[in-house]
Amino acid sequence: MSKTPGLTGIGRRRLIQGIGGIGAASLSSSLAMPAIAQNKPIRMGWIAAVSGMFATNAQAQDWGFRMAVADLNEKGGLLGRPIEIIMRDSAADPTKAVSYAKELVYNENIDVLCGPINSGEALPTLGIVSGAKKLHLIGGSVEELIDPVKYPLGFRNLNANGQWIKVAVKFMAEDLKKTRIAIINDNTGYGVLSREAVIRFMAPYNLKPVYTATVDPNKPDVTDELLKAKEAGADVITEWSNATGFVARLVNARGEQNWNVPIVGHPAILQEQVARLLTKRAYWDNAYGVGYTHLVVDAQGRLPANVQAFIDKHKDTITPYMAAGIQAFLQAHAAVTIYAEGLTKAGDTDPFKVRAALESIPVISAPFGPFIYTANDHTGFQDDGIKLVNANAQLPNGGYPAVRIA
Amino acid sequence: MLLVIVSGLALGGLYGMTALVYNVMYSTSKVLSFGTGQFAMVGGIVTAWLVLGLHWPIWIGFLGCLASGAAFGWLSEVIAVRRIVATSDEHLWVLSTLALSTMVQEGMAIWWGTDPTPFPRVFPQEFAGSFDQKFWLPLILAVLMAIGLEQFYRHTMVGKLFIAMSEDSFAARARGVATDRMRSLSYVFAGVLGSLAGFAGGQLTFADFALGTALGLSGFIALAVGGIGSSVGALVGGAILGMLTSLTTHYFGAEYQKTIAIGLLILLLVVRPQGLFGTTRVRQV
Repeated sequence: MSKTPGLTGIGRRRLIQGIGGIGAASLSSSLAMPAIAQNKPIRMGWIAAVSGMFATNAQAQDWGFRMAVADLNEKGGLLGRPIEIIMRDSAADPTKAVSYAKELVYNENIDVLCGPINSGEALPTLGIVSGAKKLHLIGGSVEELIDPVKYPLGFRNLNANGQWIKVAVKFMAEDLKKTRIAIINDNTGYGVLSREAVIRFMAPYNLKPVYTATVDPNKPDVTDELLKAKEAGADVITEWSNATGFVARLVNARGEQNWNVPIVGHPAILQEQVARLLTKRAYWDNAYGVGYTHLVVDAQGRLPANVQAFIDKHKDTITPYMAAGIQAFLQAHAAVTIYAEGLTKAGDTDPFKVRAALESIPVISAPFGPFIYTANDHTGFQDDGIKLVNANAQLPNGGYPAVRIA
Repeated sequence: MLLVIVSGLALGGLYGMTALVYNVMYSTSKVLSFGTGQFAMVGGIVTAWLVLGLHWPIWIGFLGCLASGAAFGWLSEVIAVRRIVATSDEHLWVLSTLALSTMVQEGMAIWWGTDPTPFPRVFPQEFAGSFDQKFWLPLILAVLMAIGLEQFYRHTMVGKLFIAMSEDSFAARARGVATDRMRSLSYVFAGVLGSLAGFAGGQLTFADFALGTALGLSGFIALAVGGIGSSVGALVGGAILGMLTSLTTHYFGAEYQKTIAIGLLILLLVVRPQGLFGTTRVRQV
């Protein structure tokens, strides 16, 4: 019998020791890996236009996002790991948003991307984030942002625009009991799409608009449009524009003609900037904007408990951000809450596991409102989280009393 | 119906004033500055800042508005026109005035913000329907501006020099006119008039960084309709555009406003390229 050449006694011992060493090393490394992963922060990418056209709202959102993360870190982070924010300011520029989205998903190795927080910037980033197979929480309201088939990892942390319009039409038809609706919208793509949605949601009530006008938001005077709506016999006006100057001109023109029909519309009508442009603040009385249930106070004037708790906890730093409205910082807070719940249930940062977890959680009760995601619905926000509020009824705590129709 | 007409004429006054400002600069430089509407934007914002921000009286706001217009007008000539006109026969002023206009607009957006802000009431008056100052102020000031400019061109030495330069700048220089200085002066003058338009229309437009672009376009249409170089034409062109905007809404719907306004411009350029009150200049060779 021939011996296996080269495997002497010493050689065998060394070989066994070597194999043992490798085994021990691999065992020890496999034991050490989770420890390293455990300490590795969860990296949340965050794109918000904190400078530029939408800065006021975005700064409030940025604050809400950071506070939500700070609160989680205070409790030990997620899955026992601290959370790290990698933030980029897109300055309301879609090209910057795209470039930062690429940087965050490919170079910064983030676990989730939150933002951009307006639809115009978010739309061009969808393909990039989806292509990189990263979970994406999107803060825009345009319907096209969410498509579970094309972008299976994209979830909205806000309502869709159609939900605002649906609830506003319901308010006009069922609460105000108006039947002669005039629609006035601006001539942006958003304004025109909104007008079509209003007409679509009016159909189930067997209603058709008595007057429609699509107007340049920079037109210095809208008296003509208001007079035409009045001539058409409108008993309510619904406006769809986020241009505060345009909305203020509409409210002014109605007030100056002593025509006290309600104006119902886009959340922009609730902004203090609109009130400042009014000839008389009383013109704001009969104006209603789309708000949220989290803004509606109880009989004692108190905000919902989870909203008040968040405000109270951060009362030292909140003041500069209240002007943008409670909904602004709660919206970004919702992005963090949604991811936290999905990640906790999944127990893993794998985006597909988090997606499956989000689709299976019965309801995510963020202070912003309730979200229920399914495999076919990644918008998730529930209609009952939306409430119409009276523009001129805001309380010092930022909330609104429930609308009471006489 | 009266309110529809008054509202249309007020818009027309605003457009007419902007057209007049185009004319003043064009007379000495043959430049149709893209920054024309921005004079009104800057004037409106400066007034709002002085009166509502710093709580100074309206007359100081008015003087500040005119001063800002003068400064911006002068800077426009220095930065966007002087070198370009001196070194190139091509229409490169299109780019330089557009660039300056964009920079000023963005600068104001950064300083003032992007939300429109209130403009002060010029006279203490409750809203008075068709007789409210926000309608008649742009209308009256536009008429006064057109009359004043005609008087200025006809009866002052500087006005006559502007006319001389508009007819033949080289000949004017050959006759000893300091054409560079005159051009600079015309831009200061244009800046003052442009900011006056912003003051007159401020209650309609608010103090808004985005005003300049829209007003510049409407003013240009009014100018083309009335005829470049004619003060009466600018006024009439503005009135036609303003009335068309209002009446189109009234009779056809707001959707057709721009189509009809731009359609009017195209129609006139085809049928009467020199505008309603413009003249076709024949040069003997």
